[in-house]
Parts: sequence; structure tokens; C-alpha cells
Amino acid sequence: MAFRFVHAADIHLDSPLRSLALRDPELADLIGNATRQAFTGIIDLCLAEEVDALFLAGDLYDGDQTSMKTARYFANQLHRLDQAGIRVLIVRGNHDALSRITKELVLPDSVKVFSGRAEAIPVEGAAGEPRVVIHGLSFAQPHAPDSLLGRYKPPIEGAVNVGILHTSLAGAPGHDPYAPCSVADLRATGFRYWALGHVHKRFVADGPCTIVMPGNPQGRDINEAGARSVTLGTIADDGSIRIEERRTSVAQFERTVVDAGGLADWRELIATIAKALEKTRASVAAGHLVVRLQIVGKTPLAWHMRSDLDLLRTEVEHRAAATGACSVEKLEIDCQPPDVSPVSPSDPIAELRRLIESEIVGSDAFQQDAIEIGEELRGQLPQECRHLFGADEAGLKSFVLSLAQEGADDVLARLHAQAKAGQG
Amino acid sequence: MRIRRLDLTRYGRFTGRTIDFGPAGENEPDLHVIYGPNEAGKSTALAAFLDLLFGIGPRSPFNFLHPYPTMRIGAALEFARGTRELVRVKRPQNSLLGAGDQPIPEAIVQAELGNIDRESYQTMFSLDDDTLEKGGESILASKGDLGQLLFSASAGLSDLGRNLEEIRGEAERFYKYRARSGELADLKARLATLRVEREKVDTFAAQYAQLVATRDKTFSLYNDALAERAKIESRLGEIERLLIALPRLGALRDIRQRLLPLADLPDIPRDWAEQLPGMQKDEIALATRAQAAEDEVVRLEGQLAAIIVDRTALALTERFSGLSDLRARYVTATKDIPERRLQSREADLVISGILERIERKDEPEPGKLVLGASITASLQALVESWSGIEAALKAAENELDAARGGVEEARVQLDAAGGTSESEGNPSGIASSLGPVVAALRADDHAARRRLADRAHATHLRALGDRMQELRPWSGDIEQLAGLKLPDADTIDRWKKEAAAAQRQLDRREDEIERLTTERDRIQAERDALAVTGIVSDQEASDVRMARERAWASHRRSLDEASADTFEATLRQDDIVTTTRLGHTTDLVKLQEASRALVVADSSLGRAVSLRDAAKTVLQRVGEEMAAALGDASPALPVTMTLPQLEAWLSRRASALEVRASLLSVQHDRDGADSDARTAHDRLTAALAAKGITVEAEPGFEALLETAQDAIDREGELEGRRAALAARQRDQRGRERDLEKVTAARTGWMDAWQSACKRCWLGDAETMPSIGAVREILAALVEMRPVLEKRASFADRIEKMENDQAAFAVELEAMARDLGIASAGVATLDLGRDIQRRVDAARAAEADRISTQRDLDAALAKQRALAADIAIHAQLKTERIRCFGVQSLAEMAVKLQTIEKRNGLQEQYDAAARDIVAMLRISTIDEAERLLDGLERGTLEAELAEAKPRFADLDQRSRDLFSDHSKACDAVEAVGGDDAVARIEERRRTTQLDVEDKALRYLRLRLGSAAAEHALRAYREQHRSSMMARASDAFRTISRGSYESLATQPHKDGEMLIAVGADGRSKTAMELSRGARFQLYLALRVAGYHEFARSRPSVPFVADDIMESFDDFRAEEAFRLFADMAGVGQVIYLTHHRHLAEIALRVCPSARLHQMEA
Repeated sequence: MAFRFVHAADIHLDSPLRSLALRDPELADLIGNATRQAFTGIIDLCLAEEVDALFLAGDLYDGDQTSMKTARYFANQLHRLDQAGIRVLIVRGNHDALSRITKELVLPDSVKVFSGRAEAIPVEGAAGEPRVVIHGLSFAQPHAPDSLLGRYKPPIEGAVNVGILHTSLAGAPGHDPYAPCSVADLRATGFRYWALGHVHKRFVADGPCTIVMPGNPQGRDINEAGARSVTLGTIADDGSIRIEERRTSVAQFERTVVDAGGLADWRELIATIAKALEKTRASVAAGHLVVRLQIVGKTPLAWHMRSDLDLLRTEVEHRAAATGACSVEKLEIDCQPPDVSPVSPSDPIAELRRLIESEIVGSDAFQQDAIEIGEELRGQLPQECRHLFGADEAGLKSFVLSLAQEGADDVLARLHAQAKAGQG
Repeated sequence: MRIRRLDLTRYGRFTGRTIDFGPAGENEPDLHVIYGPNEAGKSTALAAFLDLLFGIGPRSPFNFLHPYPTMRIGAALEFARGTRELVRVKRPQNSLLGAGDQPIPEAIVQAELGNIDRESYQTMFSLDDDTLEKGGESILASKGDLGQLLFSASAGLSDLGRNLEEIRGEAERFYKYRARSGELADLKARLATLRVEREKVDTFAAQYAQLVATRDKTFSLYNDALAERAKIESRLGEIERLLIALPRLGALRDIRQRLLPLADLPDIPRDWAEQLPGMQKDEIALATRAQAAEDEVVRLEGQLAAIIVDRTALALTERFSGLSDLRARYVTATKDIPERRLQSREADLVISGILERIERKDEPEPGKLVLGASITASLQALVESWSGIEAALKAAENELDAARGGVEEARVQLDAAGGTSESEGNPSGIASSLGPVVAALRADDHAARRRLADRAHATHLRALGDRMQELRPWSGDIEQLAGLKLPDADTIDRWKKEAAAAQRQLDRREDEIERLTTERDRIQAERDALAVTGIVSDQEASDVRMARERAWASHRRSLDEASADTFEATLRQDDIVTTTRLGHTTDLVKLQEASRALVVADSSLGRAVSLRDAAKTVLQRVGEEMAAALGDASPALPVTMTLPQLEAWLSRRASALEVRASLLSVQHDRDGADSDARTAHDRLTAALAAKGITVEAEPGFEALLETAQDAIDREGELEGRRAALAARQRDQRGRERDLEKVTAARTGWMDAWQSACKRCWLGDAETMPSIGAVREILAALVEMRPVLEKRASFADRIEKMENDQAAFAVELEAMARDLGIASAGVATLDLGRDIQRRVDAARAAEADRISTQRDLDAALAKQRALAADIAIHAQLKTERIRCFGVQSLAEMAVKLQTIEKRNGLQEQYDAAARDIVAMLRISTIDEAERLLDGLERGTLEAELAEAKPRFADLDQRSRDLFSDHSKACDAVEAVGGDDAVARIEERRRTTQLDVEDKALRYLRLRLGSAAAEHALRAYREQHRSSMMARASDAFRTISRGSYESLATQPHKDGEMLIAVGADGRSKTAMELSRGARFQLYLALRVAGYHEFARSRPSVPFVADDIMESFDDFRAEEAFRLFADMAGVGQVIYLTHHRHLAEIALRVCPSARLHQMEA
């Protein structure tokens, strides 16, 4: 009989999605708490595939996750597996090291949470002659600057050895280094499968030792764009290992770039965006698509888009809704007007623009004003939003001044539009 | 934009007038001065220029000469991309036209004008006194583009400040300094609400641990309390039981006392007492029943001995009953046999009748005569077909006779028609050759055409006569009329036009002469009146002056008194004249005007007269030309004919000529018809001759046609007769063939008949039987077959019945012998009845014997059973009596009552002991007695009183603890695994993102508008100096330094312009003199024009005599400024002051002067 397992990691249960798209209450209802929905999906997968075990390679919750409801939910799901006779093997990750909530829970006996001392658990075969052995180790601290690999037990002779490890590997952008080690190190252990966790992007290394970093099963913001998955593994009787990727995202984040270059007609622009949305939607299997749209290119509509951003957003959202199971969380306009129409030097708005660039932005008087505006707003914002302004005065100044130029472009675009409307 | 040429095609007083500005000179100021006296149309030209650019207003006043639909202004305008020819007409839409009068968009012109509207253009750059002033005031009120330009530093920036305010307002919807409401406040409130909501539903790990600890603690306390409570409860029960048991023990001991004397009574089975009354009753009943049984047995044995059975008869019982069927048949046969014999004889009679019918009376075996089915069928078929054959033969013979008659009749008819049946193969061919000719000639319509032509000819001749009459006075025949050489239509048309034009001219000139003559006479009278009132005319004054000069010259030469007097006289006269003229300057002017008017009137009159004369000449010439032409045409035509008369005559001639043409056409038709008639006649004659049909000499066409038709008809009739004869002959041959066929069929039938008869006894005779005979025989044989069958069946039945009767008699006789009954001479049925009686008696006796024997057996069995019962009863009684040591059942009853009483007491004792043992929860009553004997009731009651309240307390406590524990369990369970917290967190996160997003937007808008405001201030600073400086310079120039400069100072909502005088005093515009104010206004326009031209294509600057209040020096300065402006764009100045034109040319020699005539 083959030994079958599901390998997931970085569940980050109840970690909220970060998207402005959720301002739409209907959408919030639909894809809200997607991390939980995804985890339920993983449990359903285990039951449907009748696997023998579920490996969870760390980071069950966010470190600051404090609600016992989350832990209770987690325990309930593991009970479902317990009733079906499916074992669960868990190593803790850096986030779990901070978490208190699991400690308060009573988990079923079929659940194995690896402790701070390396253990090798036989999961299949006779007592003296195990066929599959699972190795694991949970580091108790949130930081693990050194490799933990050396602390794992040596492979059991004659058995298929599988290791579960929470590691940043050689380091990944956006992830703290944690128990670093290299693929070569992992291969050198003599294990046949390494079930990794920590990095939120899928990574698979084949060979005599299969190394899988499944990524998190549900992207939480645009920085976790793309399809998300877990791994369904089968250890055949001859010890060979076959893996399949199984999609788990309830909602999928995607960036879509629309080239509006050369478009001069507003309706044409909307149609082009709609087409891009439909194309992206068609390429995504998840139940819902959340798109961040970036519109680029040189187009005479550049100012129009800036000045009528709200209108554009409304129309695009409308088109997204028409596409079906698709939302636009943000619209980024990165368009320039075409070079071919040199602005008359006597155009007052052009002159204002020139003045702003050459005289105003750099002037002490304006900078003073800008910093005051920034400080005033920062004082009014809720504490959790103040990080926008950077850590210190210098950060605030550079932040405010960087916005000033963009803001001036926005304002000039609107003045331009209003002036044109006034003439028309 | 520049105007190259203005075409006043139809506009106001102008018709086809053009002002050509020509191309702009290279590096020369593009300054144009249009000079024209009053009423020359300068203002109209300016209005036309504006209308060209912006359209003609709906109620234009310039339609007094050219009505709206015809108004038209054209121009050649120089645009940035070349010169364009444009036309403006008056229409609600599409009034601007390009090449080929195709509408073109207004935007073309608007774009070149920098999108200024008409009003702005008028107040800025197209000035007259009125707009100069009004526009100037509005500029100072910072209205319009120039006003904005002056104060807000740039046109187009006017709305920026307001728009920036709007943007800022939009930003502040999110957050505004010190405002309590706004989106940010709402979002913060939402965050706070969510936080509270979360706190309400969430449970943290520490709280959860606490909840679990509470649950476990309450559980343990609850268990402890329960244990304690149970202990006391148990003790309470025990005491209560002991207190109940104590009195019970007393009762127990009492019963035990009462049982002691009854201890030696035997223990007997429980049911003995119950059975005793039964036993006593049974004893008596058994004795009675034994006696009755004995009596019954004796009675039955006697009865049995009396019954005797006839054994022989009994043995025959079965055999006799087996005869019942045979007996029934015997009875039936006795009735049936005579009847059947009768029927059989009837059948014999029928058969012999039939045999007689078919003449075979002596046939011994009638069955042999019956024929087989196949022979019968053949004979019947032949009989049926015979009548058909007979009928067919008859019919065929009749039809043949009729056909022969028909042939004869047809032959007779052909002979009568003159033909012979033999010539039918040789037709004459008359029909085929003559037929088409006759048909074609009948279709020919020449005769009809000839009649129509004759009628039309007569009608036309009459009409022609009438028409010729109408042409009087001309006379002649129609051919002469047709040959007349008359003037052609063009010539007459030309005459008409010339004459009409000349006549109109003549009429108009006559009117004019009339009017002018009156006018001249009036002026003449006016002048004469002035002269009469003493006005010396110029001529007279001149004459007097000349006279004076001559007198002076002569006096100088002679220097004598006479000459001096003469000179004096003339001098005085001249003085008088001069004085008079001076005294009547006004009259003099009028006189001069009258003289001029008179000259003009004379001249106009002369012109009118000469034009009238010219028209007369033309009229005369036309008349002469016409007369000449008529003379040439015919002397019969009067040369005095007027042009309309001539036209009428020519029209009548044309209708006469039409009639002539019709007449000629009719004649042509008639000739054609005649020619066709001849051709037809010839063709028919030839055709008849070819067939050898002779005709009488010179027959008419109709007679010829008839002859030919007769020949054709006769030929047709003969053909018909011949064909009828042939048909009849064909018919006769057919009939003959039919008769042959029928005869053959009859012969065949005869053969078949004979062979059929031979196959049976019918053919045995020498002659074959006839059809009728056979038909009868067949019918008789059909009747005979069933009768034969019926007779055979009767014979068979009779035989069987006779056999049955015999068998029955034999059997009865045999039985009678066995029973010893004499059978001889006894009727069979009577014998049967005797045997029956014997058998029945034997069976009855046997049944009686069996029944009595059975009753006896039963009585004996009953007697035996009763004896056994009596034995059992006696043994039981003996056994029980012995047990009690008594003699009878009655004594035994007394003993039994005592035992029953003892048993009752024992039961009471046992029950009490069980109660006590159970109550005290110990095993034996002895232990209980020991326990209770060691107890004190008072002590127990005291203990009970103390324990009861303790128990109540503990009970309450355990309840409370249970409730606490339940609550703690609920609290732990309530934490649940739902996602309420996660969803709130997600909403909180989304709200934070929303705050951040909106904060960024706020910042962008706020920072952007702050930057724009800064930039706007800088821009204004830079640009104000430019226009203000130009206006300052221009004002200083025009005012020739009276004013040093212009400046602004803040005022109420905006800024106010002030003029700074050379003396340093400053004045507002309203404080300036009118002249100075107009100079200021012009200076503003000059500055605005330059400023405007900096940012847009230049537009023409047009001014209409705006320098009325300027002195020459200031006008000169103004023209200098114009020349300067003309370096930037086109400047056009319209004036009726020649000196201004001269100043302009002096200041700017390259300026172009355009004259406009009055």
C-alpha cells in the first residue's frame, strides 16, 4: 500500500486579507477570511484523497494571533482528520513560537506536534521495521539564526525518511532568515522528502531527495499574487515519491498591466481594460480574482485618467463585475501624454507646471507648508496608519515631498480638465 | 489672423463693394487707415467685419436694401496655415461658407481668434466710442479676459483659484483642520467600533486558560460538596429507619407470643381446606349415579333381544339399487318405440315420392341415385352458363343485321351527294390550296380603311376652309400660306424683349423726367426766392467784384474824378454786396446749395431725357424691322400689324398648317387602301383559275370570295360522307367476327354437357337428358339426401331400446328366484316393486339393531367409569381422615379451621420481620433485634434534629456549585471556533487600508493644490508686471507724460487701478477727465493686445474714430502706439477726419490709406 500525505505550510489561519477590494461588503462576505476557507479546503482534500497523514511545516497562525476562536477552529479541523484516522504532524514555525493559543488547546492523540528535541516518528510498517519515518523538530524561539539541520536524527536505515522543517532556505525576499540551510545541505541528509515551510512562494527541487516548499495556501495581498497550493505526495511501495500540486486559493491576487499606449478614445480605453480583465480572469482557476490594474503607455487620455480617476475606477469596477468573480482592488495610472503635442509656452497651466518643478517644490516656503500638512494629518490618523509617514522626521519629509510632485500632477490634470471644460 | 480683403457683396447699403487690405508688408507695420466721409459706411463695414467673423445676428439692421436671404459678406482671411476665402450669409445654421459655398465649421474661424467670443472681441479689440468706454470700465472691474489679464495676470487663470478651492474642498471632505466630522472621523469611529466589537466577541489565550481553570476548579468543588451531602443524607435515612423499626419490633414480638400454643398442629397442604366441601358433595353424588347406570343397562339388553333381521333381502340391497338406471330406460323405451316407428314410416313415404318425381319409382336402393359433389357442381355450372351463351348468340345476330343496314344507308347518302365511294383515295385538293388564300383575304381590312379615309378627308377639308377664313385680311390658298417667308421665333422673341425693355425704360424715364422736372422747378423756385430776398448769388457777387476791379484799374490809369466816382460806385456796390452776403451767410449757403442742387437736378434731368430718347429709338427700330419683315413676306399682310397681332396671326397660320398636314396624311391612307384591294382581287382570281374554277367576267371581289368558299365547302361535305361509309363498313366486319366467337362457345358447351352426364347414372339412358330435366333431378336429389339419413337413424334407435327392455326383465327374474318370489305371470314392473319392498324392510331392521347395540355399549362403559371414581374418592377420604385421626369428613373440617388461623399469624410475623430487616439493611431479624435493643429513641431523635439543617445547607451548596460549573463549561464552549473575530479583524484591516488610501489621496490633493497655489502666486507676480508695465507705458505715451504710470492697490474683493500723475498725485479712473479716461482705456487695450498676442495668434485690431476727445498731439501718440501694435498684428483705424489720416501717414509712412466714397 502506498503511503499518501498532504504537505502544507504557512497556513496563517485567520490572517486577514489586505485589499481595498474588500471595501465592497458583498465581496468581503464572499472571500472574507480566505485563509480559513483555504485551510478547510486542505482538510477536505485530505479526507477526499483518504491520505495517511497531513504535514504542517510551521506558521499555523500569525505571531500576533491571539484569538482562541482561531485555535478552536484549528482543533476542530484536526478532529475531523482524527475521526477519519488521518495523522497530523506539525513542526512549529517562527510565528508559532510567538503564539500562545495552541498551548491552551487539547489536540487529538493522532496529532503529533514536534518538540524542541528532534524526533523520528515511524508512521508505517512493523514496529521493528518501519517503512516511513517522519523527522521533525520545533525550534522554540522566534529567531533561528543557524541551521537546525544538524540537530535532526540520522535517517533510519531501510525506511523512507521524511523531514519536516521550517526554514528560509538560503533566504527569500520578504522573509526573515530562519534556520537557514541550502538545498545541497538537505540532499546530504539522506532523507527522501523534505517538507519545508516559511517561504510563501512555491519551490520544488527534484532528485533523489524531493524538496518542496509549498508556499502559503492563500495569498493575503497583492504581494502574494498568483495561484497558491499544497502538495499531495505518494510514497509508493518501492519507496519512489510522486508529488502533485493542488490549488487551494479561495481568492487569487493578480497584477495586470494594461498598455493604453496610443488610445485616444475613452470608450476604447475601457474596452481595452475590460479585455485585459477578461484575459486575466480566464487564466485564473481560483473562485475569485482580485486584480491590481496598472495602466501604462503614452496616451492623450493620460490627464483625463488622472483627473477622472473616480469615473475610471467606477467604470472599470463595473466591467470587472460584468466579467464575473473578479474585483479590482486598485487602479494605478502610470501614463504619460504623448510627446507629439508640445505644450504652448504661454499655456498658463504648463507654466504653472514649470514653476512647480523649477521653483516651488524646492522652495523652503513650500516644503515648510508641505511638512506642516503632513504632520497635521499624521497627528490625526489612527495609530496603526501612521507608519505611512515613515519612522522619523526625515522619513516624513521625503514621503511628503515625494507625494507633492505626484499631487501636483493630479491637481494640474484636474485644473487642465476644468479649464478645458470651461472653454468647451 | 489677418484680413486680406473684405467683400461687402450685399450688406447694408453696400452692393458688390470690396476693401482690399493687400498683403502685409515685410517688416512694415500692418497699419491701415480707412478714410471716408460721414455716411460712407465705415460703421457698416466694421459691423460687416464682425458679422463675417461671428455670424449675422437674427435681427440685423443691415437688411434695408438687401433682404436677409440675400445678405452676403465675403473675405479673404490670412490664417496661420494660409489664406482662406470665406463667405458669411444670413442663416440660423451653417452660415459660414467656404469654396463652392459649402458650409464649413465655425471652429475654423474661432480657433484663429483664440476662441474669443463676439462680445469679448468687441470690448477688447474692435472698438468704437461706446465699446471703448464700456469695455474699459469692465477691464477696470477685472472682468473679461483683459480684466483678468490685468489683475489676475493671465487669461485662462481666472478660474484656477476657484478650481483650486474646489480641489481643496474635496480633499477636506476627508479631513479638515479642527473639523469634527469628515471621512477620517467616520473611519476612525468605525475602527473604534470594530475594536469594541472584537473585544466583545473575542477570547484571548490567557482568558481562555482562566476559563478552563475556573471550569476545572468548580468541578472539583462540586464533587466535594456532593460527597459530603451524600454522607449526611445517608445518616439521616438511617436514623429515620431506626425510628420506624423500633415500634415494629414490639408488634413482632406480640405475634410470636400468640403463635406458641398453635405450634403442634400438623402442616397440611394449603388446598385441603378448600377441597373439603367438594369431597363431601362428591360422596353423595357418586352413590346416586351408580344406581341409575345399573337400571339403564338392564333396559337396553331387553330391547336388543327383540329385533329380527331378513338377511337374504339385505344381501340383495346393493344389486337391486344397481338396476335403477336400467329400470328408467325400460320405462322410457316403452313410451318411445311406437313413436319412432311412426316417424320411420313417414320418411319412407317421402323417399318414394321423390323417386316418383325423378322417374325411378322402382329403384331398390335410392341411396345410389345421390350424386357426388363434383358432378353436381359441374352440372350446375353448365346449367348456369347456358342462358348466357344463348343470350350472347341472339345479341350478336341482331347487331350484325343492324350493321349491314347502316352500310347500305351510308352508301345511298354518298351517292346522293354525288360522290362515289371509290374516289375517296383521290381528293381534289381544293380546300388545301384555296383555303389559306381565302382566309388571308378575308382578314385583309383595305375596304374598312378606305371608308375611314374617305370620312376623315371630308372632315379635314371643312376644317381647312374654316382656318383659311380666320387668316383674313390675308388671302390665298393653303400652299401659298405654307410657302410664306415669315420672321422666325427667335427674331420675334428678340423684338418682344427689346420692345418690352425699351418700353419699361421709356416708362421709367418718363416718370423720372416728370419727377426731376418737378424737383428742378422746386429748386429753381427756391433759389429764385432766395435771390429775390436779396441774396446775391455768387455769380452776381463775382460780377460786382469784377466790376469793382475794372473800375479800380480804370481809375488807376486815369486817376480822375469820373473814374473815382465810378470806382466809388462799384466799390460801394461791392461793399453792399459783400455786406449783404455777410448778412445773409446762412441764406447764402442755402443759395449755394440750391445752385448746386439745381445743377445736379439739371444734369439728372438731361441724363433721363437722353435715356428716354434712346429707348424711343429702340422701339422705333423694332417697329421698322417688323414692318420690313412683313413686307418681304407677303404684300397681302398689312405692314401696320403690331407685334401681338403678328403673334396671333402666326399662331392661326400654324393651326391652318396643322390641318393641311392632317389632310395630306388622310390622302396617303386612302391610296394605300385602294392598292391593297387590287392586289387581293388579283391573287384570288389566280387561285381559282389554278383549280380550274371558272368565273363570270369581271366579278366583284365579294362574288369571287363567295365562289371560292362554295368550292371549299362542297369538297368538305363529300369528304364527310366518304368517311361515314368507311366507318359503317368497319363496324359490320366487327359484328361478323363477334357472331363467329359466340357460335364456337355454344358448341364447346354442348360437348361439356355430354361428358358431364356420362360420368353418372344420368348418362345411362340413350339420349342425354335435357337441361330442364337435369335441373329438376338435381333439386330432387338435394331434398332426398336428408330424408334417407333420417330413416336410417330411426331404425337404429328402435333396436337399441328393445335390447334394454329385455335385459331389465332377465335381471328381475333372477332376483325373484333368490328371494323365493314367484315371477311367472307377474308384470316386470310389479315384480320390481315387490322386490323393492322386501329389501327396504330388511334394511330398516338392521339399522334398529345397530343403534340399540351402540346405546348398550355406552351404558356399560359409563357404569365402569363410575365404579373407578367411587374407588378413588374412597381412598382419598380414608387417607385424610387418617391424617387428622378422625372418622368423618365433618370432623376433619373443624381441625382445618384452627390450622388456618395459625397460618395467618405466621404470615403477619414473617412480614414484620422482613420489614425490619429490610429497613435496617441487615441480614437477619436476630441481628436487628440486637441492634434495636441497644438503641435509645431519644438519642436518635436528637441526632436527627441536628442533621436535617446540615443536609439542607449542603444540598444548596452543591446546587450552587453545579450551576457555577455549568456556567464555566458554557463559557469555555462559548469561545467556539467561528470566524467572527477573524472577520472583524479583516474589516478592521480593510478600514485601515481605506484610511491609508484616502489619506494618501488627501495628501496628494492637499500638497498638489498647495504647490499649485504657490505657483499661481509666483505666476501672477511675474505676469502682472508685464501687462501693467505695458499699460503704464502706453498711458504715459498717449497722455504725453501727464501721467507717469499706472499702479494697483488692493480694494475690497480684488485690486484697483490708479493712475499716477506727473505731479505724483494718483487718481482712480473715475476721477480722470473724460479724455484722460479714454486715453487710459485705449492704453489698456494696447497693453492687452500685446499681452494677448504673446500667448495666442494675433487678431485684427479695429477702431472706429475713437479719438474724438484726443487733441492732435495725443492722436499722434496714439497712432504711434498703433504703429507699434501693427508690428504684432493687423491694425485698422476708420475715421472721417482727414487730418487724422494725415497724422497716421506722417507717424507711420508705410500705413495704407483706403478711401471710402460717400
